[in-house]
Amino acid sequence: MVRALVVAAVVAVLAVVCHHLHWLTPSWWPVLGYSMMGAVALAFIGGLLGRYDAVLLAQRLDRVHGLKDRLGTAVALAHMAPDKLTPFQEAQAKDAVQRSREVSPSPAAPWAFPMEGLAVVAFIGLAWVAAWYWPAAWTPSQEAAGVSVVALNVPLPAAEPPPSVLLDPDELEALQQRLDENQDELATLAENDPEMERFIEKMNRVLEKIAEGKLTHREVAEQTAELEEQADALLGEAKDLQKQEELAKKFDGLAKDIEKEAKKLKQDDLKELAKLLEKREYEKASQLFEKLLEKFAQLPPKEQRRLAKAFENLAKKLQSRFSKELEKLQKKQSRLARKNPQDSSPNAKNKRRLNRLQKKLDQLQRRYNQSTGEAQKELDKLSRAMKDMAQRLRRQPPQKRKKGQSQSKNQPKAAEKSNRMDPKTMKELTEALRRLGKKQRRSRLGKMGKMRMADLKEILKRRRGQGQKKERSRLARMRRGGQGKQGQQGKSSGEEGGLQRKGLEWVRLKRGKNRGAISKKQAQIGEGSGQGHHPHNHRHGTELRNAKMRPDFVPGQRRKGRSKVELLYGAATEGTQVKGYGNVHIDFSMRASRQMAQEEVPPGYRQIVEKYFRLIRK
Amino acid sequence: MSEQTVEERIVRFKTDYGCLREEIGKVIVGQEDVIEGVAVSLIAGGHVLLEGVPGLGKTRLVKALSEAVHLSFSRIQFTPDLMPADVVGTQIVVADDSGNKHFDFRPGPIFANIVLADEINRATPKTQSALLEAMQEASVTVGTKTHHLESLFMVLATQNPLEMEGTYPLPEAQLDRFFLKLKVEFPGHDVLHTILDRTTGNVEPTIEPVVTGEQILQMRHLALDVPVARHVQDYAVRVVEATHPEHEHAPDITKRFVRYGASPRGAQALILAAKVKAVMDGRFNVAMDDIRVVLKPALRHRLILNFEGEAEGIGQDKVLDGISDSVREVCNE
Repeated sequence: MVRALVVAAVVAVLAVVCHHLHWLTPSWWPVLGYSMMGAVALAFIGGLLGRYDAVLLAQRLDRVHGLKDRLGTAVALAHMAPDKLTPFQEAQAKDAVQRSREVSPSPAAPWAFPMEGLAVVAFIGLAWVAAWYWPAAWTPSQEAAGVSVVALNVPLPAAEPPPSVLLDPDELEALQQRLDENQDELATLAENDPEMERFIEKMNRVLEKIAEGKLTHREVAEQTAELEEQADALLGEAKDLQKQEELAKKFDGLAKDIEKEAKKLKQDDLKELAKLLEKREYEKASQLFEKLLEKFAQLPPKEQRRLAKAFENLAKKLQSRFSKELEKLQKKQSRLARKNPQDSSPNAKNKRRLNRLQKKLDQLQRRYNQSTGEAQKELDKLSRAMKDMAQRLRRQPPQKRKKGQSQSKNQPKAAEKSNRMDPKTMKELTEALRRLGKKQRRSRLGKMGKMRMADLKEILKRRRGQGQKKERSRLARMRRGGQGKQGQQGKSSGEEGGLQRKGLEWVRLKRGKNRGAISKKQAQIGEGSGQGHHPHNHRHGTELRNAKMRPDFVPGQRRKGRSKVELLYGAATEGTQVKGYGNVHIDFSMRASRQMAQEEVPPGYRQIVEKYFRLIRK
Repeated sequence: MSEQTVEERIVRFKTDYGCLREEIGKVIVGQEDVIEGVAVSLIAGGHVLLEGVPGLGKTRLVKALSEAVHLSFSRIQFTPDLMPADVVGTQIVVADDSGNKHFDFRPGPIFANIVLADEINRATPKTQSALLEAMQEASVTVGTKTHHLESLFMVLATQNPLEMEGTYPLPEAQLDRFFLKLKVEFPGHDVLHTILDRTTGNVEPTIEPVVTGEQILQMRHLALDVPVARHVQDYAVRVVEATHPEHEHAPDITKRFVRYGASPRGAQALILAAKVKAVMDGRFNVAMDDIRVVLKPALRHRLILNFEGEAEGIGQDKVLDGISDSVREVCNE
């Protein structure tokens, strides 16, 4: 019976392990459960029907009825040699039979005690419950494993709602502060951008719900992760920040050029455009640029020519800036080419050098294309737009225009049409500026969103004790790793050849030129868990002669007078012995024997001392 | 031998033992366990070591026993200057009627049925070991000749556990030869009153011999016939095994405090004493209770404690109690 229970329990454990490893589908659970129940029930019934050991039964009867092993002995003897019983054994059997007449077997019968039956019922009940409930309870992991789940009609007990996040007043205040902070800036950044407005609104809503304790930890984690994703997406749009910076630098140069031209032309509008470009307010600049283009079309021809010239100059300068950069690159290329020893003897050394230079050249070209490619495209568009505008302004002679004004009604329309900027070109021109502005705005908003989420996480971590735990583990790591010791000779100040923890091992630092002063700075924390030890922390063995000894007097237990003893400190401490126990034992026992031989010792005492040393010998 | 005879023998055994107890009880008050232990040893043919402080009636008990049975009795007072020859006897020069002189063996006090070795630990190991052969082989070798002792031979030794000065503790080999070691405890309040009443008056109780040596031998034969069931014997074996610290079924107390366990001779003593106890109780079989009753007297002097056991003051009795508690009666239940 017990074996059957053990086997069933082992099978159950194996089934759980197999289930965890996804080797068993949930459809096998009822089969396993019923099999185990059946096995236990069969074992129980088999145990009931099977023959019980007669000697054991007799022993039980002896014990229950106080028969002093009469029945047990009789049965055992009868089993051993039933035909060869001695008279004494026969008398014993007779005595046992006589005693057994008064015995009632029911109190001693094993099946009369219902504990095993109860155990079987309890086991079957547990197995039944487990067979029905476990698959339902583990549904998520099965789904994750892609295993089909058996539909069960047993309703699951209602789960308790997870604890909501309720913050302390201080945390609430910090969160509220975070909510109020930069609201105006956020609103400005999200202006005319519904996507960003939605992001800000969502972020604020999550923070408000957390402050009110309406969200659980899980919900907070989910929504925070979602917001972080969105913030990452916003930042992702502005991943080419480096390229934007390049472009912005180019626009800075352009702003200076425009400012110069505006001074010459005494054009206030152009000056304003230059200022906006300088401030890097590209969206406003793009709007102003649109207005300016409309305005330039209405200017007198002289002014238009002057403007055309100015725009040509600007386009040239932009081009010249590109050409300068390209020149620089080409100079580098030529410099490298001069170094290129193609003409010399193609020995192995020169070949290697050639390859190296070629690689360097390719690398330089690639880097230039990467960093300035997009900026160059944008500026190319701008330059083209300026040239186009200059041409259109020149194409409009003042006489023609005057004639046109006095001639037919259609002429002014045609003139106006030809005079107006090509919408495509204009769009291209302004679009470059607008895109830059938008990207700038989004990246800033994304950064702010990330910062908010990081703050929120920190507050929640602190609340759940994770922060403290982290701090504790950090300190423990420092302690374990022998870190944080003041005065460790580190490289930070003294460049002394000290020791520094690196991962799991100690690394000796290079010795510097000057003698290093003792650093008070804490040593760096290694990446590992600090399982190593400082080499100077090895314990030195305590030599016996160094062990502190002091004479002491202890009262004898059964005798008058006192005995002189010496207490040895340190030698008894584990890990400090330098001499094996066996050697110490021999030394001491021999010394005791010599002493007893020299002095007059009562014979009984001599034996006691010898016995003592015999007993403490291992 | 018919069944009736066995039953009659059992009845007679009980009667004889009752008479013996009664006679000894005239002089010795209380100390039932000790008296019973001595009787068990006498019937089983073993030797007894009585341990107790002076004045508890150890010697008196032995004298009473010797007076209650028709057996020769001798007493040896062990002292440090006692020589082996003083115990076993010696060769002396004797002149016959014709004037020729020859060596003749003069038996020592050990040539008796019951020998009282009083304060045995006061003698030197040399003298103590003179008892070894006598106790185990029931023979004494002097010179080149071996002299056999009486068929009914019993040594009753006494020792004082407190007085250690000028004593020689018995070696383990000699201790193992004692069938039982009985501890004579201080009597209780009422018992002390009775002792005073009986011993401080003018009337001194006299003991009559009630049992002969022949009867004791018959009792011994009867006890040896008592059957022991396998499971009872198995219990005794497991108990003895449990006294060995290196044995796999040894309880923790044994592993911690015992250096050497009981010898097979201890297991023999356990079963023999249990058999005698069973017959004394009028039973035809040995029960596990009998084993438990004789467990301490039969094994306490056969356990050698280690340093920790000695230092902690753990007695052998405590270890045996732990073993008795830990060893189950039915091993496969």
